[in-house]
Amino acid sequence: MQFFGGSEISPSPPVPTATGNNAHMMYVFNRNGVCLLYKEWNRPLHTLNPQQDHKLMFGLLFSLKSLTAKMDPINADKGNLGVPQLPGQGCSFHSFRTNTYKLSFMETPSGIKIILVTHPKTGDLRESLKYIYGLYVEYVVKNPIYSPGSPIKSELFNTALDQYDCRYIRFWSSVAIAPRQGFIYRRRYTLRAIESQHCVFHYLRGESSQRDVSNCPYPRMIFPHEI
Amino acid sequence: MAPVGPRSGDAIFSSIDRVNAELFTLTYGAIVRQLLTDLEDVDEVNKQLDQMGYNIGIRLIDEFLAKSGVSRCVDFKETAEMIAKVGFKMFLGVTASVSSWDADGTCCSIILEDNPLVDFVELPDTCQGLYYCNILSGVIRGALEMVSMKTEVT
Repeated sequence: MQFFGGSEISPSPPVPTATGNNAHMMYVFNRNGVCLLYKEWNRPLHTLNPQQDHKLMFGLLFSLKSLTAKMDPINADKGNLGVPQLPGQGCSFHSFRTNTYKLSFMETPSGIKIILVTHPKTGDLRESLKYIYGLYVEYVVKNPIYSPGSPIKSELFNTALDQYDCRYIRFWSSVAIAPRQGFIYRRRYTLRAIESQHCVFHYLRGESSQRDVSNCPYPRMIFPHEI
Repeated sequence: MAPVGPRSGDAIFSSIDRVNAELFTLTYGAIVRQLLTDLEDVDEVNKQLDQMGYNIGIRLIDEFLAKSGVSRCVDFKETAEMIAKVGFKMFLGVTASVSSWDADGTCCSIILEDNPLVDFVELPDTCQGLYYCNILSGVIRGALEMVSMKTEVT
């Protein structure tokens, strides 16, 4: 019987050292769920076709926003579970981290959602996301040929994004998310924390000592183990 | 990290690109003049101005949110104040005031003391019933619609 130790199952990727681009992917959605932009700088693994990928991402964000709003310990006024929140209302999550990537999220009151997937050791990207929103306004909104709600095809916008990434976020050159020996696919991405405006949800999942993949290990407990 | 507070209208107005006020006023006057010539009916012109304003408003809201960094307003009163104090200051350089609230708090008037659009303008008698600044109504309506607030602006 093989036992998988805690930190060996899904090793953290190497810390980036060289200069260049640290972001892996970027999504921009509008309030209706239309994916206005999907940009990929560094993504070795594609599991879904683009439409499914976008739908999955949008659904994930919707659920996480509802979850963080309902579990908010500070805000007194919470709607009923399942009622969609207006953009900007209530407590919204701004990032979640797994052991292989960090996903940062920003939503404006007008419903534009910007998602950036980066290296897990990246710091708080809220200012970067605001800057990207500014770029969106400059190159997309102010473009008279662009019709709101349609996918973005602006070359200037793409170039500006590439330049911003190269200058401010460092490059991660060898992204090998190669599975180790005896590795189980289901445990590749381990959720670590979801950060929202008012609190951070930490998550630790216990590892089962069984090799049998049909038994799903129970989540052990939720406690703050690191900030 | 504490979020940066919303910047005041003055600060933003001084930091963004501006155009000559007379150019703006005269261009707008030319647009209205041309619409009157093309459509001839005053109501049609009003509707067209409102539609143009709406198209501007749905894009303007993103620029407003990006430059001012304000978060969602709690109620309609705050929204009206935000439009009057920050919005108008940021885009037109003038401050408006909010007044005439009704009992419910659902209806108000935004007063512009000096409106840059109407400088040098005199309406002739043939254009009675023309809402010269209807484009502003459309802008406000479009912008609020993008933040999930259905309004009627006249």
